[in-house]
Amino acid sequence: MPQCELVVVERQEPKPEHVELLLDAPALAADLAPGQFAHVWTPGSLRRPISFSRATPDGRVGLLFRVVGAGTRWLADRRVGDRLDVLAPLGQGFPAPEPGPLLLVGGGVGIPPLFVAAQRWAATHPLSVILGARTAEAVVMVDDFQTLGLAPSLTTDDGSLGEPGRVTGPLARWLARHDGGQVWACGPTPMLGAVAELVGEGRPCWLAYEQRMGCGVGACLACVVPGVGADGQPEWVRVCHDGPVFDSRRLWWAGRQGEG
Amino acid sequence: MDLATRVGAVRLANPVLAASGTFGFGPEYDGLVDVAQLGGVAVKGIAPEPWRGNPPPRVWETPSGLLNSIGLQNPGVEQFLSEDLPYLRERGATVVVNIIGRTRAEYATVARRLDGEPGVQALELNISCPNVKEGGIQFGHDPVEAAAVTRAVKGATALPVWVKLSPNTHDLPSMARAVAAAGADAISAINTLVGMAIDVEHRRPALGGLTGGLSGPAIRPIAVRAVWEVSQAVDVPVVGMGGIETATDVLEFLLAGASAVMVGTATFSRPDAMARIIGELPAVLARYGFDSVRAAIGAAHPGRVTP
Repeated sequence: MPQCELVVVERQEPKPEHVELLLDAPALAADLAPGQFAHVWTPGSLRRPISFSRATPDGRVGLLFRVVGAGTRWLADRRVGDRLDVLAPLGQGFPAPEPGPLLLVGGGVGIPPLFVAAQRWAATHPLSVILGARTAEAVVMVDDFQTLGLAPSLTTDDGSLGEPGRVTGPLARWLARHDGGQVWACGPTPMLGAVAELVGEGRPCWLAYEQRMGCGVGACLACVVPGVGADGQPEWVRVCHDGPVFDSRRLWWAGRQGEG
Repeated sequence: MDLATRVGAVRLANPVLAASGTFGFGPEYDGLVDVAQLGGVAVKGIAPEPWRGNPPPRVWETPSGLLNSIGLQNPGVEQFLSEDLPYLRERGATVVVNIIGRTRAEYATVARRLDGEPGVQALELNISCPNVKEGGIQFGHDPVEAAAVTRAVKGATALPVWVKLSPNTHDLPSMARAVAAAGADAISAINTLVGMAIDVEHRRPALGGLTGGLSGPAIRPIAVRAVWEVSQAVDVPVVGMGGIETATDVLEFLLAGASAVMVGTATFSRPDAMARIIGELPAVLARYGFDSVRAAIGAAHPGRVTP
């Protein structure tokens, strides 16, 4: 039964306007697939979909989000001991990776689900990590990746942290250095499009989408993005239910339309 | 407490149905909502063939409500019958199929295909979606057109036909009288109101379809007024909807003249909203002096004997 009340056991503000709530949820922590999300009740008419940011061995899960409006402001005001009404785990997460190198590419609030992936696969796969955002104040969880022994490459649009520019810079270099391997990415849609285009169709590429959402369970058809149907024609796919993680070959990029 | 009610020939165990467009085509809320416990399920609008719907973004939260511009995306009647209806039928749900079309003939085609289909108890004729140019609303503003499409559907099926009306009209009673005279077995009121929001951060309309339909508690008083007017204008039963969140809201619609109600937007926030409302309804009815749902229907109208 995915509707539950979870208690906030810890609250962090890793960056300005970014809050991470840790919830006591042993069953979720044990079963979570990286990329799955919680649909969290807030006082308005819609819940807020938030990807899990971590699952700890002592049975906690994290929700890390940026404060962007009234709903996330209310969530940010929760304190230790408060309860959240949560639908979780929802959506299709990242699949088990194929053997070989795995590159994680995260942009802004797309970074947290990739940390769950790193927690899950750092011991069994050679992992590389690229994290980017507009400014240093939106690059989250760098220290968390470091505690796993990983050394993320960092980029910011304004050069305030790491390499100036986009994640596509270090991504292109990683692709040039590796013949095979696979790429998982989460971030704003333009970033995902750029990642998919650079990676091409030669290696597995899985992308986690962000989209405004209604029901969260596939009923209302609000959170659709363009996908590729079984007949090769475009069709809407639901981020909440068919995703949020998609095989990039199932998505209909602007560049693909010329092929069809 | 007797929660049973009737919408014409359709008997319902309780008056709370899932509203079309908010509950998918049947299986989506599996594990969260027991469809057999509901008064019924009105599935999302079904056309003869699949429709793509509108570009995203498709929802936007507003004060006490929600704007949507889904655009009637649906898999078409054949896929609904093979993949979704069996789920509802096997669980014993009371099923109302919302039907849509671009032309009178398309409405009749879906109605004919659903006629005699086991597990379907009624059709809800959607002539009121504000999010598509062709797909109903052209019938929903004109009593003559509305009556014609109602007659076409009645001629294509033996199923009861509920006609879902738009509040985006200046004369709801005339619309109600027109479709009732054309054979409508009930009237659903109301669909969403046309609205718009601007995403100030990105300096563009918040919805891909530019305008959208407003639902949620923001429209409840408009819906209550519509139910009140329609139930006075016609003799056929009225199914009321618009921003219902609590059992007291349900009673308000019953008192205004509704024989049953639908709950939509509230389910997004609280998937258990309908179950909660049904659970609380007996106590609410009792508190206000009713021993059954039927006793409350229309009880606020002048001339009704107060209990």
